[in-house]
Amino acid sequence: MTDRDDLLEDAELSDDLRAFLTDTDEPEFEARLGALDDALGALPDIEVPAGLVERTLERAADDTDEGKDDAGLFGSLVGGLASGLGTLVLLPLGLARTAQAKRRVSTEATKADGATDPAGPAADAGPKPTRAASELPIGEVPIATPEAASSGSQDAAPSVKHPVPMRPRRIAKAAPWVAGAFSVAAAGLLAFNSLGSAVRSNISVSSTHIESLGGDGDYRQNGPASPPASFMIPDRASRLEVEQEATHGAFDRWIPDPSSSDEAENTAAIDNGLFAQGDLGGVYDNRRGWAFEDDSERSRAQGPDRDGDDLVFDGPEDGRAAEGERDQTTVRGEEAFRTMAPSDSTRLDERNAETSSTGRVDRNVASGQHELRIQVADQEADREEAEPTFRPSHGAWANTYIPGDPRWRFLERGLDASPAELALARSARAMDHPLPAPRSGALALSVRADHRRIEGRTRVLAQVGLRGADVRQGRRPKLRAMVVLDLRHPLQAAHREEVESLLMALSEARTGNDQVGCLVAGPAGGALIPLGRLRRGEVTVALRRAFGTPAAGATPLTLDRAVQDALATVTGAEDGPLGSNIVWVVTPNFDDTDAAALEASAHVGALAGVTTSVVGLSGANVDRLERVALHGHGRRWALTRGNETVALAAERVVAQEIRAASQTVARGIRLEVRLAAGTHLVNVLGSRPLSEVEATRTRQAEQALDQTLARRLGIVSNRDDDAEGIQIFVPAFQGGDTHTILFDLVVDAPGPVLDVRAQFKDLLRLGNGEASERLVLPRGRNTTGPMERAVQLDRLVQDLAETMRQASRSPDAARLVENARRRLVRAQADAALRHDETLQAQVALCDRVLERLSGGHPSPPLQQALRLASHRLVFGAPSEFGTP
Amino acid sequence: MTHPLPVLEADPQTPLAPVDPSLGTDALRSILEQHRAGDAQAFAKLVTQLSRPIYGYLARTGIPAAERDDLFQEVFLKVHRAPNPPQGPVRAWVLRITVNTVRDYFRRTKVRSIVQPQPSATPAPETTAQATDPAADETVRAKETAAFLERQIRALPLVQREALVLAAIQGLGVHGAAAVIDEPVETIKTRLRRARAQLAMAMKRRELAAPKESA
Repeated sequence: MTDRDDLLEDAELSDDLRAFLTDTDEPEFEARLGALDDALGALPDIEVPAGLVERTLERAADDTDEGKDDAGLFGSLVGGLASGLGTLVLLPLGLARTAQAKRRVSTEATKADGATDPAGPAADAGPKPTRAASELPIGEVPIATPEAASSGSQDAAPSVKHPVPMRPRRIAKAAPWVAGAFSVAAAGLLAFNSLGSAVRSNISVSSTHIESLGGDGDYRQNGPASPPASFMIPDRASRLEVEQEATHGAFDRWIPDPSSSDEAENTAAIDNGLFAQGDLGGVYDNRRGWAFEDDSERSRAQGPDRDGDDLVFDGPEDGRAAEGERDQTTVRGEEAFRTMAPSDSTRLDERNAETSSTGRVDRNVASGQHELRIQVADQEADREEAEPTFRPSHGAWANTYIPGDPRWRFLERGLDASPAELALARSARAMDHPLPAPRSGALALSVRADHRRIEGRTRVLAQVGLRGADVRQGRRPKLRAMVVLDLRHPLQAAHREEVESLLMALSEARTGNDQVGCLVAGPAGGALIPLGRLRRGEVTVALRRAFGTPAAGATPLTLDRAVQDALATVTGAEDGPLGSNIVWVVTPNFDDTDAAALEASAHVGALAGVTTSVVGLSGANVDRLERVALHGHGRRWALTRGNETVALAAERVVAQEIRAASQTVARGIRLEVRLAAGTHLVNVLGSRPLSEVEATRTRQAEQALDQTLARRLGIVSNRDDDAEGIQIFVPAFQGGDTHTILFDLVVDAPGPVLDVRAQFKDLLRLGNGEASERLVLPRGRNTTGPMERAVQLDRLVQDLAETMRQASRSPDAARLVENARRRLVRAQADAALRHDETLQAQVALCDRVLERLSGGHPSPPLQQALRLASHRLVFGAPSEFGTP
Repeated sequence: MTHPLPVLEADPQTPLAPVDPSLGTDALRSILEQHRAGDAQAFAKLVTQLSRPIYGYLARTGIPAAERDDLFQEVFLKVHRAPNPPQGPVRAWVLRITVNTVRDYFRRTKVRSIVQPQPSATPAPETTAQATDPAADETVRAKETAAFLERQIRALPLVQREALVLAAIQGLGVHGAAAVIDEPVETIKTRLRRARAQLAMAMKRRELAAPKESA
């Protein structure tokens, strides 16, 4: 039996191979195998990349170190246990021995006083042991008589070699103490090791604190050498200075300079409760500012004892103390915080600007810090235009991450005839969020604030950032898609062309495994192309039928019903892990009633694992599309042409939809934000609290997704109703995307502000992913580093976007934009932001808008441009979405 | 007539060919024992000695270049952490770890393939169009054949790939491959037979296609 014969009898042989074997005779086959073996033998070794061996060895070395740590911990544990046991055993034994030895000394001394030597004459030659060595237990040394001891003779030493030449009395005495010392040492080692492990395991959380506390670490670097006059002598200061003091009081306090020779100033500052002895326990260094004695001191500063002096202080140094106990400055600042009227804040802005320009506070401006403080305070004041109303610190909020085509296409389309306005809007520029990339897993979570430290009640902006892991384009999932065409009303020629282009693009993008069909809603509703039958030729024929006059007896079908039918068609099929069962609703427009009905259907589809995306033909209402897409966990697209042809636009939409489906790195992201005691929620920017119905739907969708992924991907189900704090549910997150959520907060005092936990279904690791971060603002003078500036910039850009949106429909647009510009210019007072391109671009945008706003209500094209600019500021330009 | 393929006829008692001719299997074992005894240099020596076969196995079984380094490190970390020395040959033991690591990888990527990059095919070496020297011509042809074979090997089913790479390319023979894969010898023989037939067919097709292309 040859190989060839064996193979021909092989039932599992492929047809190709069987045909090959049949066509090839035995000698030829053997010759070919021989040639193959030669070729296989000649295959060269594959070179190992340079440095790989070294990297492997480094990892192995790290692995060894980790093992040592674990061994150390284990060793300490065992040592501690053993020592504890030793103590228990040795302590009574040692005490008994001590007592026994004492008794023995007493007995021997008594014997020596009057007894004759029982050892006889031979023993008289020297000091004799009072007891035969052989009679002594092992380890015990015979004890000489006092006389022998006092003779000082070396011969007094025992003549018998003892197994353990040690001093029994000392051992007996020391035994319990040695055992105790060992126990304490072992327990200490154990605790230290446990602490080390805890620190290592919590390193991600700690890093946030270290970042908050670290940075330049200089409490004094920008501070004035002496306190501002207004703080020293408020009664003699001008009204403006008093107001400045009041404004800054809550945010920005003077910090005494320990290096200053003016002890009175420092003492005054310390006495007023700003600094108590041991505050942060640091040592001031002229070059580096405050230095912490060790890391534990930093850690202590973040705990309940916020100043790290081992005293949980509830007096003046704690901003959350009772009103009557607060220090005077805090109370003054808080009063100002509370009582500042909107008009006052505006006037104060102007006065501050005047003051800076006239040099009345030159001594402070000279350092540059004062401007920054004015800017920070003004930002706070601006935010305080209305007394903040606090919202509940728990409950579900709307998701703000909606990947897909933003509405810019609609808005840009409206500016086709106004190139000047279009250019103006295009100068709006979103900021890049410098969020950390995931190191492992699909998502990285980060939390930052616009403050690094606070001293009292402060308005704080916290930014929660999500970033998806970068994934390269790979094989995409098998697509099961039903297209629902909204033909309830006769389509315009342009819309027909768009629909045809879309279906053609879909038929082109379809692969052999995909199944795509088409349903029609309208007077002649029903299945236009059955699932899996969408082909190029079919499209042409089917659309001719769909766009034609309805046949007599045709059944009308509502859009909602058509969507439900489409959902039923693709539901039940095996869903790909990334939700490749999709219903696309293609519509020229629909009203609110339709949107409400579709929301319900889309929600049911989402529960069943089918996503509903919406493609709007030119002129569709984006808001309504967005509502449906949100409920269907899908995306919304705009098939508007702009400068490209219809076919290109359709190809773009199809390509991006497929790309979106194939680049999802995480699903079912649940963000839980828990606010610490003393932290109050003012708003989640860009979001809104969900109604009870919406919240229930979201929970249902989350749990359905959880179970679907458990069933199909084996990711353990872990979602229940036990959510804490503010919850935001994001159905899916795409690779490489970044998204930030801004929380507007009022924080009563330094300390923990919030913690965030993100649970998600990690599609890269096929498991449950979890990330948590914590924001702690320690006590101290606020300084801004890059992280804080990024949050401030984020806020400024969002504010500007909101201003642009308001200005688009306000007769007082110029004033609104002017105010926004002033805020931006003030932000540029910070040396670090002076050359920031994002900020410069925003100022330039304001300038351009102000040029166009000659007064009064903006013209319609300008309104459109302002809305487009607002949108671009938040969502970015098309190129930032990777649009082809 | 059965083709006397040395791979198929290898004596199970014959010790596996050493990685480095200067090192017998005993040498690898002694290196491993030195590593276990705490010799810091021994593990480096072991990795260096086995790096080529392990990396070659990873590459030829179709692990994408982006993942190969990680899996390579994973294999040696497993070796590093292994509590007990192997009973059999060290090289076979490390290869068994590699085989299992690769299987785990493909098991994982079976479901996550949607978001993972496809295995990047190694581009065929550039041919030198102006190669007129017969020797150079032969070299180019050999390189092309090798590149073609590599692609064809990666297209084989995983079980056939494993058997072929271990038995025919790594030189373990049928019995060695069976020991590493932990399957009966006859199973390995069947897989090898299919794999070789598949490759032979591919080479024949290539030969038939070549004149057409040149024409």
